[in-house]
Amino acid sequence: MENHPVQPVSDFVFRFDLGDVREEPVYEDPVRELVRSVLAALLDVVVLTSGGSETRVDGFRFHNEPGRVCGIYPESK
Amino acid sequence: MNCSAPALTHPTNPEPLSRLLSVIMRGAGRLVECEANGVPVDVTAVFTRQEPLEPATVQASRVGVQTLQSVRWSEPRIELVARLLHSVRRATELHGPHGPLRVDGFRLKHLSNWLARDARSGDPFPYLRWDCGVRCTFCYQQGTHPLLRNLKEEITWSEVETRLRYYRPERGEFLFDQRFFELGEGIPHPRFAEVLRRFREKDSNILVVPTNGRGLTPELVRELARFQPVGIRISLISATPEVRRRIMRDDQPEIAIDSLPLLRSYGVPYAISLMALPTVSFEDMERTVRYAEKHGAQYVVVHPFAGSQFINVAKGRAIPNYEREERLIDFIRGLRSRTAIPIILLMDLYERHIAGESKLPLLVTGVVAESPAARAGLRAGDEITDTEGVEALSGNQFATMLRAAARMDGGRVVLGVRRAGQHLRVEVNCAQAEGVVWAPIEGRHGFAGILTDMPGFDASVFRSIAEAAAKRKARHVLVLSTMLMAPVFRARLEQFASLLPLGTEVETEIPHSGFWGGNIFTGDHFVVPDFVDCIQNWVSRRGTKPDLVIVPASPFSWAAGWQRDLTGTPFTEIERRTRVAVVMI
Repeated sequence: MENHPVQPVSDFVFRFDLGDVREEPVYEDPVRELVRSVLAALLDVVVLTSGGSETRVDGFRFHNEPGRVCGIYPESK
Repeated sequence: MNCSAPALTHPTNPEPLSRLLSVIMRGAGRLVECEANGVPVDVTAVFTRQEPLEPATVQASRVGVQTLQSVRWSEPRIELVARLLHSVRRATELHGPHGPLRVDGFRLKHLSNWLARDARSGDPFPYLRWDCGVRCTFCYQQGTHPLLRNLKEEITWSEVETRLRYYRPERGEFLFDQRFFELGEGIPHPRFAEVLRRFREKDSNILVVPTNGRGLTPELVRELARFQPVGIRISLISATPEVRRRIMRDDQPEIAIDSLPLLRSYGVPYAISLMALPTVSFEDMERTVRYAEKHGAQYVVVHPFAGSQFINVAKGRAIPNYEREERLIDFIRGLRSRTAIPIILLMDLYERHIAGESKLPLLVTGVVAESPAARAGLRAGDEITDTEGVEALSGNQFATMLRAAARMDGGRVVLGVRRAGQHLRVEVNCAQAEGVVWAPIEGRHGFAGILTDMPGFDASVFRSIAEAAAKRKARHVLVLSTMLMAPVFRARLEQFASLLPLGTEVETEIPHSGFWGGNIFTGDHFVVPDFVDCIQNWVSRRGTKPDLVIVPASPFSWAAGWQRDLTGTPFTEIERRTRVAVVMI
């Protein structure tokens, strides 16, 4: 009797297109924009907390730029 | 190697940026595999880009890919991955073993990472959508917003099989949902019977199938009966062929109409729904209700016609019309007295408000014929005061208590009932409900055949508002509501005002729905821009901002707990755009 190998069950492949991301850059500096867009994306999915309390965040600054706060959602957006 | 472990380099600022990129790419790489031109690729290095990636180089959507919009609503973490990869791609140049890569998409790795856990009731395979076969004049897809068009091609059998494979009812798990606005329902799917069979192999619980009835042929009804317990919810609209043909543009209205006696003959329980359209007379609605009663429907659901831009086409927006709704309430109340079948009007809080029933006991809206509740002698209009001595505060609580009680002590539950000023104790044998199917409907539970009304504005709502106001030291609170809920809320506000911090002023405002085309469930037709417009108009009229805005949870609660409206926009966007503190209750 011939043995037929059992075909592994394969899952449907869920594919997504990065061209679907509709997000205009806010900052020209690509590093600043990278951080901003990463934070904006995260804040649409998570709520940051501090000491167990929810904290609303709308900006950030680099550790080496103590005087410059960058808005995550500037008015122009 | 793929995006899970790239060797990241950055010539000018190697440390912090490199670490950030590494974290993002490694994190994303554990979940997805990058694609370039539709082919999986290994990302082995990331270099900083001197110039940002030009938007023009972003490739347009490709054949065979899912749209992010279809998952924004139910699984926004996929969108998060996309946005992170997009951000990295814009700031850097991705390289593979053979040089630069133009990464333009990704595919999900291990699907077990993307299981939702939810007590999903009703339709267990909402992804199974096929052309519904009718073109209802009131369909919410009329004038569908471009954002929600072309979200998905018809589902492939491979995807159906995969979704069935990951459906694990014993753990309450299923593969993430996708939201399709343009495709119809599951019954017309060419392999619907096979889906039923596969479903039944995994799940012995009730299968609730919503349908417009167009596909309920004798063959299909016979097939459905093989997979009991099944409950059918038929959007019948009218039992008059000409009316159904005109309103639903159904070229074979007899199929749906004839399915009622057919379902009964096969012992398949079902309920029907009607739409209180201005173009359907009360006489026709009554004929339909009587027809459903004659053929053993469990109950009738009447949807008010709301949330449509087409209610008043001339003005292009929905105009609150209390007179029309009050005429409908009068009619339904009269009809209930003339028929025995439970009739649920999906605006019961408003109905009770205008009837002057200011207190909110848990009211039995109807009792399904031949159910345990009917056998115990419960009647429409009874007030449920307690379950085994525990006070029942809302329909949801009541159903939960009934289910719990039914599992103990032989399934017998003693209910406290107030009827015509008398207090009664009624014993319901819920164990008898095991062999009977009571299809759940939105916001209500028909367990043991008892249909109760919606949970109302009880003290907990006002305590939550008080808590939010106190936390933000808010004096002026603006509550956004709906046409039918706002008057009820105002009446309750008088009752519960003492719960609010002293000096708190509360106002209500009704946003207008500017998004959907046709009819959509009343409480869920607002989207984030509707709330934003409403707040901005209020601020512009008053010249001042409220200290706090309360938005109803309903429009955001459908989204698998992600607090997004039906377009997938997070409610936090309201606060961002208006710069006013917003709390969802």
